[in-house]
Amino acid sequence: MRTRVGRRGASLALLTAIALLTACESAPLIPPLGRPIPSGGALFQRYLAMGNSITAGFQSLGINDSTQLESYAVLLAQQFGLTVGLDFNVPLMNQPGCPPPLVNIFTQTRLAGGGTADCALRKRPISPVIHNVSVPGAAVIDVLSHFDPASSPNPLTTLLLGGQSQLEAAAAAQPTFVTLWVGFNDVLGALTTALTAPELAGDPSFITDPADFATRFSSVMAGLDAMPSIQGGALIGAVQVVAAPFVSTGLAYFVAAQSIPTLTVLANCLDTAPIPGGGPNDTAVVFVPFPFGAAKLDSAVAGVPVTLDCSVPEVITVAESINMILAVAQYNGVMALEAAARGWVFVDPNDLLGPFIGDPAFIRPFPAFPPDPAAETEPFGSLLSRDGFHPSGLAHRFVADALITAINAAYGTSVPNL
Amino acid sequence: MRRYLVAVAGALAYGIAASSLTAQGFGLYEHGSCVMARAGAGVAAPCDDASGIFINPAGLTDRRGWTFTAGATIISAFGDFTNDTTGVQSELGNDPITVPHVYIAYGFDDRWAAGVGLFVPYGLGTRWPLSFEGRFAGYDNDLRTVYVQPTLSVKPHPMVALGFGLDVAIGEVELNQRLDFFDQAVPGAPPGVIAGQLGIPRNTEFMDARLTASGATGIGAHVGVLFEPTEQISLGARYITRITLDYDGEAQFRQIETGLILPADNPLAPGMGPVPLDAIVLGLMAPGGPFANQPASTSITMPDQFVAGIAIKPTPELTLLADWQWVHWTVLDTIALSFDNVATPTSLPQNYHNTNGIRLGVDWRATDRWSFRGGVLTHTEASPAETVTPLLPESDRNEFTLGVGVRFTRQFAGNFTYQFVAQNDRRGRMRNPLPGEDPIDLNAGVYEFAGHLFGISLTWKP
Repeated sequence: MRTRVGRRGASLALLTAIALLTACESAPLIPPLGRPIPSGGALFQRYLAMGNSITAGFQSLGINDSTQLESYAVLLAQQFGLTVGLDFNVPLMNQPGCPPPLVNIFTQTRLAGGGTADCALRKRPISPVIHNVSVPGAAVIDVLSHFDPASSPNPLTTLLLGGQSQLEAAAAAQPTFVTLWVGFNDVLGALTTALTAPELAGDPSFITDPADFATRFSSVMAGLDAMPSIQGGALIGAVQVVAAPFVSTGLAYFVAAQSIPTLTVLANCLDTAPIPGGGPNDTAVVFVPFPFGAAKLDSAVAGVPVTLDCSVPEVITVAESINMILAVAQYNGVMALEAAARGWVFVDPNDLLGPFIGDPAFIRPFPAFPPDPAAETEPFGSLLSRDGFHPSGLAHRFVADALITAINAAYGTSVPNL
Repeated sequence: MRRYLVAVAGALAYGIAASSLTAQGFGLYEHGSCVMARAGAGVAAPCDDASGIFINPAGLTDRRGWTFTAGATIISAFGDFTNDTTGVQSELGNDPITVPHVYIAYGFDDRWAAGVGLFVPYGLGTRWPLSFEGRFAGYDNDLRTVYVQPTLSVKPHPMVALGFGLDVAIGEVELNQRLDFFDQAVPGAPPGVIAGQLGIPRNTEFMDARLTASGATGIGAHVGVLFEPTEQISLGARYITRITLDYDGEAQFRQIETGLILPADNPLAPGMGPVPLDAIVLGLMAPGGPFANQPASTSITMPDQFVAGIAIKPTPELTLLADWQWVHWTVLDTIALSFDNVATPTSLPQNYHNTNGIRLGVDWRATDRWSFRGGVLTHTEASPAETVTPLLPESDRNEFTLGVGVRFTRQFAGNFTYQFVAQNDRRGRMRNPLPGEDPIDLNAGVYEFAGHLFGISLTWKP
């Protein structure tokens, strides 16, 4: 009898165990453990930034993981609730950079004593998917292809994206939200040629024809339209390059000459002309590129009599500056229309930065020269890095905040401002 | 240049290890439809077909004359991987796989019996689409290890039976993977610099690698014991030894054109015009080069395992069974793989855990003609968090079985079983680590996995 009871007990235990295991299995499996929806909302789950050196985080004629992480794109991603290195991947460059940024524009000293040809290569680990696909030097054509006759690839083109175009790299990321900031380099060459071929400053051949820009930009947008994952985006207009303190007005040099007896500024440096289609106060002026003007100033301060003649090819004439200003205005018109056609945000950076132009605390009208301590730290103002045309970390914060405000207004989101 | 081949070796070696684990995890314990229907529980009470050769070699006694059992298990596995970053889901593309089993037993008298069995304890594969990022760890992989086991059973006491089998294992493997130029060392660059640091995107496939090896053999043993203190209760245990298989095969490489043209003045070719990447790769395939076809070899140890169980018969028609299974997967902690063109073999840590499984089954002989069976089993994962890959997207599993047995005639019977495999979702990675990388940091998504198994066994007792 005892044996029989024991057998029943054991049988019951086994049956109970089977029932318990079955019940256990009927519970749901562990849910997928993918990345959570970011705090900014599902719209920003896979945010992707496209653009040029500004978006890439290029500063002071160099780029490294410090400058890259100051980009407005990174700040935006963080405000969206994304984590850099986890769900917002930046192709970070090792320190000191590629090339290392300038630490003093007057001595041309770079970080860690590096040179313009130095490159510390990409920082590991390297994510398979990149969310900031911007490439320094990219004009609108470079977003489409590196191999178009009009493209202008550089070593960073390979280092950041290999053989991919920005559009190809973007498609791999399956973005849900995109920001695109191009157009700057479609004009900037007319300014930066002052670094390599000063006599070509302002040359219109460096400026992308607005009709070509429109065609190429439409192709870029068509490429984005072909990515079904994209639910929204923001376009940022081109910056009026002549507003960059890399160039100073002839008037600024004229004023400086008042306190430098050995500097003579000719009257042609004060030429002006109304900007066609502009308002009554929109006037184009003569611009003197920093390398050319600084050399003159340096000699004058050293006691050598110097004359600044603004009719030389190294100076950007009124006609040339009008050409640049109108090109940028037309680019921005194209971009605004493309944004409106899709219900995207369009932000004109000139509206954002305009109030700071000429304010010595932000965008200096005339660079700080040695022995002014600012000549080393902020020679062009706090919104500019040490090259005079790439924004500083502070400017990136301004841009990010402006974008957040515009995005929240357009999409009804609640992304916190910085 | 050597780094190229080391990377290949690492990936291929990993593939072999993972596939063998997959077999265990996918329940290739199903070597007879009758015991399969009891969730594999039966070490204390093997079915009355000849599958006892596998489930417990001591279980062949108490029969006279011949017993022939043959059948197959059809495994239909399905699953997917969801990428954390992109949200892209890649689905496993496995076709159903058929795994056969054949047993022949002969009972000389009440005490002695002998037999021979053929079963495939390791034999599943994984097939992922070529669009899946995990193709660089393996996209089409097969590993089959057939065991042929001559067996002898004896009953030295009315309550005790012993069994012994000699296992001859024959293995073959085929692994296919794509190679990523991103991982490759850059000629002329400082040591440790990979192409990815020059901007080559990850997942830039430039080569298809195929490793085939067959004819690997190994010898092992299988012992079992049965103890029946009463007619209602029996206890059983078995132990199968580990078997090491030495694979000698060939690695074959086929170029995949990237179509990438590196822009002018790029770091791979400074001062030059646009350079096709494919031209650089082609040079690596020359005889003696890292991507020339060449012999390759490796060794894999199939782990030993121990199973103990109990069977209770509350009534003569009803049997309740419970087995505990322990598999010694830690024997596969590291894999070494050698290529002819590389002087030093590649060693890859696997760090597998031993696994424990509980199998609970019920067997009800409703009539002399019909029997009904069911069961549930659960077992732990073998792979640690750092080795959950496309080749072994493994996790803890729960499985359920239902089966029916029918005696068509006095000599001829059949068993039919359905089994569902439910695996917990698990985070895993898509690629193998580079030197200095922590594999667990590479887990970048979630694997989901499940499977349907259908078993059939036919038994003839002339």
